[in-house]
Amino acid sequence: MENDKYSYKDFTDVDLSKIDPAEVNDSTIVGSCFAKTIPVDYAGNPFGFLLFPANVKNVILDGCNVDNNRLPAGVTIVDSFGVASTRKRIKIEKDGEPWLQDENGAPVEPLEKAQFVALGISIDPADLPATRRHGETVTQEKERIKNEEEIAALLGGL
Amino acid sequence: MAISTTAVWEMRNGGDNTNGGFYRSDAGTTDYSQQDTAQLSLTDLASDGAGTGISSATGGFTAAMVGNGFRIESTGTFTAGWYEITAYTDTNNVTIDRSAGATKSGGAGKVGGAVALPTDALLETFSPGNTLWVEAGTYTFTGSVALSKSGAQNNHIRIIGYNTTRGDDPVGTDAPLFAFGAYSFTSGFYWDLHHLRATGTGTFLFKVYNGCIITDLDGETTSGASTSAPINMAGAALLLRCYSKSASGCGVYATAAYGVAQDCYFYDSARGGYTTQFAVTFNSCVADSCTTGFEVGNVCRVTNSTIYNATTGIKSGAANFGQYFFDNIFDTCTLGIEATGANYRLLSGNNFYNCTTRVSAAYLEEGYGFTTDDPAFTNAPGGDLSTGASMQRVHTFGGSPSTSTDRVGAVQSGNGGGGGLPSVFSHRPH
Repeated sequence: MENDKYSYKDFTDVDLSKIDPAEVNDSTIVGSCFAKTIPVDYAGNPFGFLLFPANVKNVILDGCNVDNNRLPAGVTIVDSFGVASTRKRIKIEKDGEPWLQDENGAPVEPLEKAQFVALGISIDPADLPATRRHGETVTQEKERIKNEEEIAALLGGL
Repeated sequence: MAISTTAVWEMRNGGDNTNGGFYRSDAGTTDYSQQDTAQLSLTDLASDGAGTGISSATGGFTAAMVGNGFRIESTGTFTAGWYEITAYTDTNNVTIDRSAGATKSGGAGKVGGAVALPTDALLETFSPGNTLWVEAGTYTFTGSVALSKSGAQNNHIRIIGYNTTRGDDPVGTDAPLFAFGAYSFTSGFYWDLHHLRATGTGTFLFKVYNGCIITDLDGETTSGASTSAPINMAGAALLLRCYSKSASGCGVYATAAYGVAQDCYFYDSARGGYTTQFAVTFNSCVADSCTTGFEVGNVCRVTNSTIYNATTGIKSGAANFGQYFFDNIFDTCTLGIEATGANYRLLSGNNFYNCTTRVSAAYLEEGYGFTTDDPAFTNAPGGDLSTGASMQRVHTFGGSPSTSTDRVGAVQSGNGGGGGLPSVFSHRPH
């Protein structure tokens, strides 16, 4: 049974860990965003540890975004209507870019890995800067390439 | 071949990205895209030697389906994608716009029905001139869109939100919502976005390039990055009546030169508008309760804008030159305009009211025709910075008064600039 209250809604950074389990038990939640800005177990996060209360049962999430959440045992994720669900652990690293993390909070690879590879930027976590950089690596690299191309075009015209 | 330039796509909650998704507006047949479910669903597709002739023993094709979208899946090693039915032969045979793979069998596909989410795979299918109508609802992104596809200078690709009827131009909570989470939308050239809302946690929600036109877009990111922004202008794009917030970052961040923000409303952000780039223009914009209203680079212009409740109204770096700050209102700012170097900047017609310091005295003077009148905002704490008659001006160029008046500060308009519609204010977190 589709859950009208929680389907096709935006719950970004909303704490649902203390709702009445009856609101979601034995239902399918379709197309909603439950993403958190930082992983829920990251130090200092203001949100509940689990997406829903630990005792919910038979909850199906279909085409939802549950990034940076931990799911109670009674929750299952499925994909339908041609769209995959997402359940990742993501954090902005010191290069200003979102990186996938392992369960211990260590960076694994950039979320937008293809852009890094296309621009020739290292995807090795060991190459992350030690201190927070102003701006974002990918944006800055694109700017640098564009500026070099413009300078080359100007010099070519001389 | 490709999908026709006149294809019109439909997206809605209840749609499905395995549906056909579009209808060619000049086909003269029947539009099956404006419905949740497909008109025809088949699982026994086969293709001819050219890959463009599609047959089904089950059948069900009709002449009315010409011009409709036909989504074919990869089942049977077909090339998955959205195709256009270009000709009808009989109930068992149609022709599509391009090859889906030659001599295939056992394929699955659907004709008609709306799509569910603007994924990268979907939008890369578009042709210049295509329009995607997005019905009001919440669309949850589960991956980023980074487009290599561009529109054309005279044939933009458009994504347009609507509430109940195409073209009803919703703002505020009536507009469809893109819930990005950590994901984002990066356009090609000449992509237009109209009447959308967006939330996300990333450093940007929309990154737009040359020739893009963004209107009536309402966005907020919760990213903690100082350069995060709902809208990143990475090219010479035009923002019109946009409404945006990033508490730790910027309302808009221009990472390339020549962008224009007109009638936009930036609020509760570390910076309202921010760029280190060349010749970016902010005209008739509002920066409401931003720590710095605008921080701009060389030859940038901030004109006819309103900066309310800022630590610094406009910030100009030591090496910045050639900036124009005309006809702005600075109200309740600790410092109106900050300059940290003695470079050329032009100030004229600005109004400073209730500012602790008007300009950085070591490097600036207030400029020609500055005033210190009360702007008499309609409801500043509520975000409506419409001005009273005190902000009307009569110019005296050449010693003769102009016959027309102009206004200092931002002009009241649709979704934000100089105030905004009540429906916009209704969800404002003040």
